[in-house]
Amino acid sequence: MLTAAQKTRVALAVMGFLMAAAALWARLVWLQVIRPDHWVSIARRQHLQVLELAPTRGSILDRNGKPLAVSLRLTSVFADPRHVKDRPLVAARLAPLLNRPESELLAKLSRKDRGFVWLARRIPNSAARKIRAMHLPAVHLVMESQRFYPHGYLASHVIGFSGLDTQGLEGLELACDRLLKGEPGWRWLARDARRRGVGAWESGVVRPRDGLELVLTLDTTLQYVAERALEEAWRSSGAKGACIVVSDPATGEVLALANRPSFDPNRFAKAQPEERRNRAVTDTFEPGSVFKVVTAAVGLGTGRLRPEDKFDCENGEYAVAGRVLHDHRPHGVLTFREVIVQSSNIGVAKAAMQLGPQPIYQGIRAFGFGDRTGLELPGEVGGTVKHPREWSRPTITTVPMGHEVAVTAMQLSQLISVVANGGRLLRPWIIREIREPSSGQVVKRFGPRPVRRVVTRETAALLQEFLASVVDHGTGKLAQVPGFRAAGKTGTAQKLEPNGQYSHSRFMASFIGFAPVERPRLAIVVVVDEPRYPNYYGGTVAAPVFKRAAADALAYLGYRPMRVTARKKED
Amino acid sequence: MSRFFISLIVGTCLALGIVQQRVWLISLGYRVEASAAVRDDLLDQHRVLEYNVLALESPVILDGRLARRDVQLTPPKAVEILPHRFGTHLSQPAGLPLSQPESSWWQQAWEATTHWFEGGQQAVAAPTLREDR
Repeated sequence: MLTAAQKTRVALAVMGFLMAAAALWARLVWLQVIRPDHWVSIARRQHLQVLELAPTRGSILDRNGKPLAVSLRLTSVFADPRHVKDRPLVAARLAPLLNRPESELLAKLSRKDRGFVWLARRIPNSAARKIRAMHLPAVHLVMESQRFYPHGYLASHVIGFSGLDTQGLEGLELACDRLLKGEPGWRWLARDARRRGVGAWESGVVRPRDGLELVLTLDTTLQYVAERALEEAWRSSGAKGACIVVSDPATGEVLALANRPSFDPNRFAKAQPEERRNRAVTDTFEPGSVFKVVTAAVGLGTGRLRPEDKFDCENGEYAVAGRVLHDHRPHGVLTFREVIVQSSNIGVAKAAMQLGPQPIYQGIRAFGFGDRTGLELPGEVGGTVKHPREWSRPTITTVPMGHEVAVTAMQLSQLISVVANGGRLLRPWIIREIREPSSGQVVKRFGPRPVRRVVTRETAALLQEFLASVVDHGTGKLAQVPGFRAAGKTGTAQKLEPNGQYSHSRFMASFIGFAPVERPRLAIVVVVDEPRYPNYYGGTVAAPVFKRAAADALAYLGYRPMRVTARKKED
Repeated sequence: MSRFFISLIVGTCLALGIVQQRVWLISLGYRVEASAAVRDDLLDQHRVLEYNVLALESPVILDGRLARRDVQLTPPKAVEILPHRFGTHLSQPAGLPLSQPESSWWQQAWEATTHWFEGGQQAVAAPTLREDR
């Protein structure tokens, strides 16, 4: 039997046990029932992680679906220096795989104040596999997207490039960044004590929306043909720069656009600003004689000039409005057609004086000069066209021959397209479709965008004949395309020196033309900046580029040579 | 008392079952993650290989290689170009599908005769039935 004292002790022990149990129960109820959220949130923070799912940047394709820019995932390596044990050994093992000096890696791994350092970004997959197999503690691998351009420098100024964080920095990559980049998704990922993902426990998933695909009007083969012709002329002429624009005059589609110097967007960091500049849309220049087409269009379009009207070209020298005009070759009396074909400055000046400033100005504006063309590429400028009230006395003689106005190569492409397509001004365009990447469904399709009619069909036909004569037996003979009849106009403009005088050593050589004349399929503009003396004329530097590009492009497009060229006939 | 023990055993079995299920789910989760990683890796490799093919097909690279090896290519002359599927039409009797893989003895005889008449030109542009796309 228990004594009274023993009973008291047992009772006390039972009471103590019950009180402890009650306290535990109270704590349990407190934790599990009254305030569970606090602890649940702490637990979630420890083993649940929101993982951002990066979208894939949309591809850029040419008109035939050939990729011009694609995104690939590559592996990047990072480390938590606080948990790296044998730093010199880790640095020594990683250095040859990451192609980095061992000392650099060791310095990064020695930064104990940081929990995260990049060791290398976007390494080759073979190296990533080797590093993964090493199972180095506190050295982690993560996949990152990188942009690649399979054709290198081809169309680099149009496509542009995107930076390390796949953000568009130039060209269409910049202009269409919002469309291309997509939207990131996320998911909850449960992780165990070793930070390994436990996939089956994931709950919410919001899938990323990949960037849209851009289908361009460019054709890779035509682009290559144009770039090859331009490259050859640029190198042989020793020019400072050059550009070419190939478009379809009937629709305004830009089929090829290239600049020199150029760059490889896969190595954009090494490119100089000069190489990255898209001269065709950002650079303005005085166009020179190619601008005579505008005067001809105004004269013929208003009916105030006829092809047979005669102009005395003063044997190559003519004093007017306080200036002396010169022709590159002395001419006597020429018809208006011959004035254009022989590119007489004096003849065009006299024709313009007959027309007056206002119609000339209206004509220039009607062709779109002074306004941006609206091409989707960034940095486009509209050029400079002065209103007649700002003209000085000699301006009426200089503007018609392409001085005192500043234009872009893209605007000249619009000009020659108007002539080639029968008189309609079309807005140039380079994006053909925007598509969903997964389904290929077209989100938006673009088409020709007519702006206005500039000249009548009859006037355009007359201009076509004028320009065909320029190539047949005028200043543009070197633009003759074997087997086809081509039309065009040459231009050689003196550049302005810093002192405001026209240079006698720095020129802008250009050629604008189209082919075949019977049914124009290609409108081509070639501009060569500062070709080296003595080969600096538009007819000798730019026209051969047109010839080569047009000949190769027409062959590619399936046109069969039909015609014996004028030169062969003469032979 | 026995009811209590039965309940205890059943309850323990149920608890063990639930725990087993959870462990199985976790191990399955690891396998899912590992498979997803392998799939992503293979997809990435596939994309890289596709990219390499694209880059190799680029006219810039092809032309560069041909230039380095001094290979001069010239486009065929007009007389050397035969219409597309020219040979196929000649060598194939009407009504036969283009994709028919095997050719019979009379088809081969017909092809040989055509080849003889064409003086060997057919081989320049006419794809065989298998090559026809």
